[in-house]
Amino acid sequence: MEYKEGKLENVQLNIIEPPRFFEKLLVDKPGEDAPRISERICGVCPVAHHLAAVKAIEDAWNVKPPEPAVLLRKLLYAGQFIQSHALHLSVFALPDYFLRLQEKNLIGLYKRDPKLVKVAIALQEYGANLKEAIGGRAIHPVAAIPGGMSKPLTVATKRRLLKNYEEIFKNTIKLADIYFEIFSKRETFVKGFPPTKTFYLAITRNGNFETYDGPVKVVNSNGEVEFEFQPEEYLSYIAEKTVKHSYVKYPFLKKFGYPNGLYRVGPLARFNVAETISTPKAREYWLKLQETFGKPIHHPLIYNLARVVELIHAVELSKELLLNDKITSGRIRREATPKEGSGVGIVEAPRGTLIHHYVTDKDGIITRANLIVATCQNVPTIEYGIRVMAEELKPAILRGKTKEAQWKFEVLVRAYDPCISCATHLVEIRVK
Amino acid sequence: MKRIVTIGLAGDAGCHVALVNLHKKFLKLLRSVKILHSYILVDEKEIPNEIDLALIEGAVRTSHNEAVVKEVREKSKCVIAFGSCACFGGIASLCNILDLNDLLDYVYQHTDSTVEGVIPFENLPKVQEKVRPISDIVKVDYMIPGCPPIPEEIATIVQAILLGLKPELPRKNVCDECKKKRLGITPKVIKRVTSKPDAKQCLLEQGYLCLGPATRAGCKAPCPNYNMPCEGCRGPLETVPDQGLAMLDALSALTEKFAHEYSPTVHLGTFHRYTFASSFLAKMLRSR
Ligand code: SF4
Ligand code: SF4
Repeated sequence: MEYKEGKLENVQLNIIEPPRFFEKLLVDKPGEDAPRISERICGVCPVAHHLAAVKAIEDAWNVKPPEPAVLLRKLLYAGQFIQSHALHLSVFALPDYFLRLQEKNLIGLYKRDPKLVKVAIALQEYGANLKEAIGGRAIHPVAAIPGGMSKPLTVATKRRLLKNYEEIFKNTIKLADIYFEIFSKRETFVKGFPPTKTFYLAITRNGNFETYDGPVKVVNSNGEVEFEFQPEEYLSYIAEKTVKHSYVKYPFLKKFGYPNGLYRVGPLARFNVAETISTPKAREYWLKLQETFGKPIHHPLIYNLARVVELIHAVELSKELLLNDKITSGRIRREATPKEGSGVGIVEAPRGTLIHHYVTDKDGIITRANLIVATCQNVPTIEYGIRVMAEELKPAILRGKTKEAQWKFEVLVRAYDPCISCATHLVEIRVK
Repeated sequence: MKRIVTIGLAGDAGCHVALVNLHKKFLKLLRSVKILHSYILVDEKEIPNEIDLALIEGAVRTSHNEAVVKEVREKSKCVIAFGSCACFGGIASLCNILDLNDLLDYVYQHTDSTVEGVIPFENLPKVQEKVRPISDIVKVDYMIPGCPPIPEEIATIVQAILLGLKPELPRKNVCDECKKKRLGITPKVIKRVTSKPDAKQCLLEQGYLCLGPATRAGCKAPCPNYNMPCEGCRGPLETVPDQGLAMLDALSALTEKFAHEYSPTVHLGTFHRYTFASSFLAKMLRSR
């Protein structure tokens, strides 16, 4: 941010994360390796890439996994949502809302409320255990393979996973209530972050909340459906533009162009797009959110509350899946035949819609890869939000209150839970 | 209390998540050391002075990465390469066979959904020609390999160093920890994992390209255990200078046919998925 002679001159969100060129790196690799290679894009939510990639290759090679394999993948994904959301809500975001906290980070929070941090860590441990049991490894799992899954779940493991469920569930609700209470008390704080009206994009199933598979739906800022499309049609609806000052690209809706076609993804977008959510407790909190803030919600900080609702859902879903008889079935794999094709796999990652697109040659070797990752899609709106806030905070900043302002900008960025959470420590305010 | 920092360069934060995956032990660790600056845990911008131990995740890809590594080295008594990106260059270094301009051009101008714009340049650290492990830039005291490393191993090594001991990594290979049965047969054909292996028998013997023999143990072989080949994420043993070449060598000795099937472009990511930047092959290419 640059202020010159009392005026806001320039705002740039410089994403300096080193580009790792995965779209090129995947070229020439066998299609079946894409789930294991592409998940190295993100160590916080590898399963999203693991599954988007496997679905894309299955689409290209025309092979469908048997139902029990899909159930296992959904369970693996529930584990991912639990771990990622619990991690964000405790490690990254929670310290922001304890306003009098001296050290605004996990360690500061731990000193003040060790019980709360323990609850969060136990939750993220449950998520990690699910990932490890289904996927083979807690980080960068290996089990999803074109045609199904590589190893069935045993009854003994299933029992072990269910063992502490009641406590896990209780702790989830505890964390949820803490968040809802914080937000009900801090209305002025929440409203101090300007709402941004954008389009919202997410996959749904029969109009309801969904993460693994379904058509993509877009609603406008009044909550009306603009269009709905199938994964393989994504190029007709979404385009990306590159900018000189950032290593991430700026996606937008083709129909409306840039910047009118800015849209957001992630928990808030999923809440705005979907009609409702399937599990009972999550639905209760979903309605609570709707009653308190209406729908659609444009306030960026509410991302966190929507995230809480999704955490409850993922925990409930994990039990539902574990209790499904088919989850321990051995019928989890069909043989896949590498061949020429083009396939798109779209999932909802914890941070938002994730698109993988691969073209393979006659041997099933990847010849083209295109990835639109969750965070990028929110970046243009984050930058816009910073600009609006930079205007609003101008008087305070020019009076020298930069430290407070800096923290506020960071809270805004963090609410989106960008994979670049780490990079948001670099807000720089220049006054000339 | 010992003063610790954790750094993130060109990686994916997975190593840091592995640290958090110590769960309760992680909280214990938080009580026993002072984390002054951390990629995801502590919101502190400056890198402090007088660091006892620095964990560095990720490889060096930009000028900013390079400057950070140098600064951390100067300020720390002990520097640990944390994870395979930092140790060997990691997965992103597979791009090292390509020209940087081609990479930038493809990713920022020619992917299917990119419709307009420039290659980013303003107010950004410069992307360097090649991905490098941090040991190419500074002296590294210890390595904790793995993509990501095993949480227990992180804890053991860090605690040992803090007590002034000299920890060592396992000296066995992944096969030594793998439960699959070896019958002593040689593979006749090379298979892709699109076909279903026999869950009981050694994957390599069945013809799947499993890197177990050339890879350092310590992970308990979760990948073969899940019927997927080891992709060598923990890198080679000290006695093996080039993991991928060692594996290739072993394979060509086993099956004559394989030499004909090897394709440098397709198989680079199979044999050198995590170690390309530090391999002989890369050095040879660079000197050419
Ligand atoms: S070693 Fe693996 S887990 Fe660690 S940063 Fe690199 S890609 Fe991520
Ligand atoms: S089996 Fe191989 S790829 Fe899997 S964790 Fe161990 S070293 Fe890494």
